[in-house]
Amino acid sequence: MVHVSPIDVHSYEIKTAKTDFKVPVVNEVHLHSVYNPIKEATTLINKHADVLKAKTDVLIFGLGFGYHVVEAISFLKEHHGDDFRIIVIDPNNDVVNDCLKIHNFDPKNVIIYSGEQIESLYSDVNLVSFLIDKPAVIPHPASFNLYGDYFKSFLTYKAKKQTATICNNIQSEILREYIFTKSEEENLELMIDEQVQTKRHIDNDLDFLMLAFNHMTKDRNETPISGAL
Amino acid sequence: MSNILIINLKRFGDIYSTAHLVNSITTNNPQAKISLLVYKEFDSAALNLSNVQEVLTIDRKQILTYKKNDIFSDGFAIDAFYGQVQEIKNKAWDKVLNYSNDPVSTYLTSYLSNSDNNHVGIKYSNKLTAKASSDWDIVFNDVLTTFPETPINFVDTYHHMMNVEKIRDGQKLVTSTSHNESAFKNINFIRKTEVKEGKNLNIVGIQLFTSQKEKNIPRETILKLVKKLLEADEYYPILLLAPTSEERNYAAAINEEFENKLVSVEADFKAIPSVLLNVDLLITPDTAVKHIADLIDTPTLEISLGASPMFKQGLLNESSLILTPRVDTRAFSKKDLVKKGDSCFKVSSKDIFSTIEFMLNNKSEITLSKGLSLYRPQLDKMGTFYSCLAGEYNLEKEVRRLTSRQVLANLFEFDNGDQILYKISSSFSSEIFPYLKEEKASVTDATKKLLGTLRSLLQTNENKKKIADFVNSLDHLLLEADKSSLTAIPVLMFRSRIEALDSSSFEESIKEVESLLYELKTDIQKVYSCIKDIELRILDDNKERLQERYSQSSQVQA
Repeated sequence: MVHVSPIDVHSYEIKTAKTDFKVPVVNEVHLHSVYNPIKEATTLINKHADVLKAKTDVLIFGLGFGYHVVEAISFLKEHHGDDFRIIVIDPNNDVVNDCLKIHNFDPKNVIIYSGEQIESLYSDVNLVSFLIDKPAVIPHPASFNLYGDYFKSFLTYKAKKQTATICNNIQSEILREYIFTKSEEENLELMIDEQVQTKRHIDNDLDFLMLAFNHMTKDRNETPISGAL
Repeated sequence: MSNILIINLKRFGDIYSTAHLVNSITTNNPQAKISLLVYKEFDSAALNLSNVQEVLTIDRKQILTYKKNDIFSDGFAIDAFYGQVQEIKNKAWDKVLNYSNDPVSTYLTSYLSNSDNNHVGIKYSNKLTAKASSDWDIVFNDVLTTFPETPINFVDTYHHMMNVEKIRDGQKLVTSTSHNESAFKNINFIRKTEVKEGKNLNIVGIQLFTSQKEKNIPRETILKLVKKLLEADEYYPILLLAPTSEERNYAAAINEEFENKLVSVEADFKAIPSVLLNVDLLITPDTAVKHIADLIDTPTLEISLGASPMFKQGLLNESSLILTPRVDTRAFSKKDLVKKGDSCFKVSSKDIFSTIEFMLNNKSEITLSKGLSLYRPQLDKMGTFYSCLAGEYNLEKEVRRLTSRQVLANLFEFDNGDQILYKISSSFSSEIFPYLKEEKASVTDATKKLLGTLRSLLQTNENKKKIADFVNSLDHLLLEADKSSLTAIPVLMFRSRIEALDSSSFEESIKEVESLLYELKTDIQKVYSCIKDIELRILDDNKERLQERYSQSSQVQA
């Protein structure tokens, strides 16, 4: 299977910093300080100290060779023990693979999404449920600038609404089949309004579930016990 | 064994009130296993209820975040919802009770109840008509939502819907030993240090906050009340608040007015029952804390303001009282509050203090400002009703509310004892006869329309062209449901039964409607009997009073 890179890389090399640590250079951009990458990483994490004290979930944009991730792990361990999660998103598979030769991140606490297309990221149920818990967000400045278009696409992504497409994000086979049979509608709300709400006769129990869902997601105000049904 | 699922998708206070029903079900049937389905954001209340086997949740916030946020596919939202509900569907339920009776809970009841016989409350049929499991469901869904007075409160209606005897005793809430010990120790310390020699000290808890600002006791009123309580030897006020920064700031601002000498007790839902067990009286607006106090029998004075549904969800403890602006001047729902605005009559600190004196110090008189009323919960066989103990009231509304309760008892052929009739005849006299006369006129009116409808129905058997006349007559009859007279109650129930008809042919429909019309005729006659009973009771009591007075004056002359 051919993997299409989400970024355009025309050069990649690894240099050694003054403190002997390795520094990836992509498209002639150094992803870490050539003088002292560890100090640079510490400074970055300290800049986000307040939010890291308050939150146990952290989303990091850009891995590079992971020095800032190591610092983040150390900080989070100090303040939260073992109860933290870090997700790193980096579009460059080669850099990520080389980073993992240097660092052995515990998958219990650190997950790396490497070289993924944006749509694929937002289809990942684990990442999505991580995002709705509103993690702290730390952009690795060098990576964030280098892969600016990629991260901008991530931050401005809008999910497709068509019922046929949303089926890709439904794990339940029964539910997927039910919605797919009504897939000509523009979106889920319209599908429920046009194809379920208008029914004179319920022939599938899931219709009741759709109607419950529709009311729950539309009626944001608490409905008091009122109005005969 | 009975696996019962109670679906309650409302807020904290409503979830706490479920405890009354849970207690009654498990006391009457110790084998019953009760699960409660709530929104996850309110599960902290559900987890405090005793005798609940399992608290099941729908994570509404998560689902809404998926749905409302453009970056997430709607597939996640519907999949999460399906997954959470499917876990519940996979269990075998003997009964599914639609407690909250909103559209979401009703569709869920329809989805989760796997037969026609295992739901309680309204669900939808496959033809999307509202399907009641009993006539009490119709009272809950149609009468209580439409009729202008409240003949019966929600808790009692749920008991009748479940056909379970209401049990007042029993531990309805979970409390923690450590909280109980701590609350006792701290409040007892206050008692010992603040008591004056030769006096009894009553600890008065004041709940500062509600979720809606129109319901809050105004700040000035609280300040003046606290001052009065501090000046009296018999009382000591403590401020009650939840552990949020908003409430802390508010309590601090109040305390500042008293040189920070007041005691503030910050307690979450786990701890507040322990605090309430140790106060002598709770003063509160309509909040979840009020419901908690009710469950542990702490005497409470509810200050009912804003859109508080006082008669539907008022206090149930007979040692408690409810202080309110006159009920004909105020709203009981948010919709009405927007339409009508707030009552022009305000509850002052003097009114609250006078009531406290009555409740705690055996003062026989209560002095209330103009336009206020004080209600007391009282028991009859149907449950709890509210009678006006002091202050002003609108005669017609008051009588209609009480007589509508008696009408309900008559409709269900429920032997409700003598309390309502006694209450009406002892509180009111022949001044209510004009109102009763109007009600009798409404009965006559409704009966005429009903007989006209029956006549035109029977004519459709001979001539199908008469169907239009029949429909016309039926429409006119159904308009009685929108009136504020007592006949509206049986007509509302009749309307609901008509709407739920599920006949397979025209002839079958006609037969069913005919049968329902005859039932309605009987029900309207029961309304008439109720009115007559009240009239006769008042006349009898008047006669007795006159005879007594005559015999007393004869003795004096002798």
